[in-house]
Amino acid sequence: MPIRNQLFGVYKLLELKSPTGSTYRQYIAESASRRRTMDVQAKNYIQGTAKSRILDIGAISETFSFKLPILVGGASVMDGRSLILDYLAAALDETSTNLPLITSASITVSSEGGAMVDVEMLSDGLPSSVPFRVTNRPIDSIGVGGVSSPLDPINAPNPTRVAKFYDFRAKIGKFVYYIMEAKVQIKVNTEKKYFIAGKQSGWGTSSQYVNAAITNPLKSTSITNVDGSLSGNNPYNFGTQFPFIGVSGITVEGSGKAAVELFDASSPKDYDFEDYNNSAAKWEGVNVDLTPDGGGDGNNYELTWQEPGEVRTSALQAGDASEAGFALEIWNAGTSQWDNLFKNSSGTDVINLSKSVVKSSNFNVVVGVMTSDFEFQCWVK
Amino acid sequence: MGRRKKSSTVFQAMAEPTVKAPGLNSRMEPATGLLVRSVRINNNYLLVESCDIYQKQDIDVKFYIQGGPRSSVADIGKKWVEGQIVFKLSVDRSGEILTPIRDILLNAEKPISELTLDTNHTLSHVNITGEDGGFDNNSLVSLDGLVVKSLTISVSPEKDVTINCSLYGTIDLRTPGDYVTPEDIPISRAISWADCDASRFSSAMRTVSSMEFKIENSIQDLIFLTHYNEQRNDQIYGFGVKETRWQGSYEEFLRLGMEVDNYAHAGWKVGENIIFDFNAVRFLVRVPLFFKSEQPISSKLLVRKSKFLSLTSPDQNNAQGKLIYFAEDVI
Repeated sequence: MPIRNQLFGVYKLLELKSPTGSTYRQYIAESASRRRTMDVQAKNYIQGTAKSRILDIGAISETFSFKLPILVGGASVMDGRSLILDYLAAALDETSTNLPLITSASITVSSEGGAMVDVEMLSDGLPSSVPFRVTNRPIDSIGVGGVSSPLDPINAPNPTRVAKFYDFRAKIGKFVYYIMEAKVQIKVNTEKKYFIAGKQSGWGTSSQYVNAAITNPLKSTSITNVDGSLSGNNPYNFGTQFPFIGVSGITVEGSGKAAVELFDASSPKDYDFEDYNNSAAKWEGVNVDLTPDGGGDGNNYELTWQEPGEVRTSALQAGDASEAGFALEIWNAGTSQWDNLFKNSSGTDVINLSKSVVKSSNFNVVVGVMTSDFEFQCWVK
Repeated sequence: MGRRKKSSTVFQAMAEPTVKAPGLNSRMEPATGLLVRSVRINNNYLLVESCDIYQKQDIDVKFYIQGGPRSSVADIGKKWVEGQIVFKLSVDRSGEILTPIRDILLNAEKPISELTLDTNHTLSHVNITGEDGGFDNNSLVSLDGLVVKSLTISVSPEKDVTINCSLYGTIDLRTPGDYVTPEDIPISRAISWADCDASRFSSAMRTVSSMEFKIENSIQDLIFLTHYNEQRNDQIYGFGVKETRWQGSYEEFLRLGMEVDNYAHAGWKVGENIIFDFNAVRFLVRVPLFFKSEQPISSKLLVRKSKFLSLTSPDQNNAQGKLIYFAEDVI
């Protein structure tokens, strides 16, 4: 039989262990990869031969990479935005012990290319953790996130479509108009630690490579884990190659690209783009500052005119400081309103990025659309 | 005339005609554009050979790791207006070029403002397609944000001067279309081969057997994320013209007595002043940049093909940068 659809990933479903640790959730992805490595190096000593006779065998590392779309409609419960919101909330939970752990997420929204999410995740390599799996579960007979048959265009709330430029809006410091691309990079800083084993009782019998319960060093008598459990599959893994993983910080920064508009509004023309256009209520240069003095009132909005720690927004230019300095929002077709891109299905902002500082801007003059590339850093609330 | 076949019902059963011919030929009433082959350019009537201008949109489906190969996810992108009209170069009773043709030519030469095109059969959908798909909510609106993307004016013996014009743009103001075929159509005359002439400094070009001039405007459309305080829209935000390329070509048949200097070895020729005279409008290229001539050999009449680009001032507001001259303009 030459037909071998079993070789094709399009028939498969990608499932990740949910942050609660008990169930799995399906996601729609463009690509996914699981990578397991073990640190092995050859060591050479003064040993009488140049050949590698000694290997230094280190720790296990298990990481996952995903590329997912952002969707509008029924299957939006399975898209990259849902994945980020689920696992970002888990990373912010001090007591969470479940894997996988999100380590970075890059959200790219562009006018031409739509929206794409690149996610990196981490696990401990323990086979029994199974944080990631591929199944052939029938997609049309399951429910995800409270939506039954999310990809069925008839049963789902709406047929699903890829989120496009008209589904997003952004306000990033002074960049409000003509935004062609916005990229938000979330980094969850993690640390792996390996500890010297305490007193051991030998390898477990039911789980390969998993250390058995150990003597609690604080109690020194009974055979228990430090969390009090008696499980041989203890989560602390003293004396194994599987690491302790902790979250040490979350940072959000990003970059973008906006078109630059230069319009000589002076009458008669003065052949520069340094003035404020009263009739259009905007500067002659949009998304770039070509003035030598910040404009007539010293209130133009170029990066170099920012005071230390000050967020310069178009709202501030208009004298209204109540407007958010940063916003990246997606259209909610169900409620017909804009939602924070980081608002979860419960209506909670997993992270609040209402303030940002633009930290670089590069003005590019080319034959074609002039652009300003910019970078920003957010306060994370 | 044959007698009508007697039938118990007024209508024929579907099975009979569909077996003989695909489709609904037996029941259709053929439509033709012969009676409505006019459009309005900037509110002025223009008779056209054809009008193929429509709203277009990037629509596709996407496939992911999704549990099966069938398409479940739509990809609905930007929306714009594009197409072409074909018409004869015509003049009115006084020999003046018709106003809509003048507007089109000027826009082709200097595309810094929009043309408006009205028809009575080009429907548009101005809501967001991704949220309002289907067949309803179409509107007859003015296509009011168009520029000339390319224009080709050509003529050959025993034929009229034909202009093929590609337009590109969007719908700006969403003005309801109110196209009405005018009751009084102005009398016009199509310019033919007999009205035309060509010349250049080095030659009277008496053996030209066809000529063509082409204007190509390189257009880049713009789409952005939704502006923060504005309404969502899946149409392109606008567009800009990056490059304007003017190019002419002509064919000459070879015979004894023609000038010697007509085999271009390529390169620019300052002051050559090539004029393609289409009677009501002339195209003047002061500094042509020639390609190498092509001289195919065949068993038929030998015809030499010459082609050139225009070198001109980037700022067109002076004589050095001007291309199109109407009857009232002095070269």
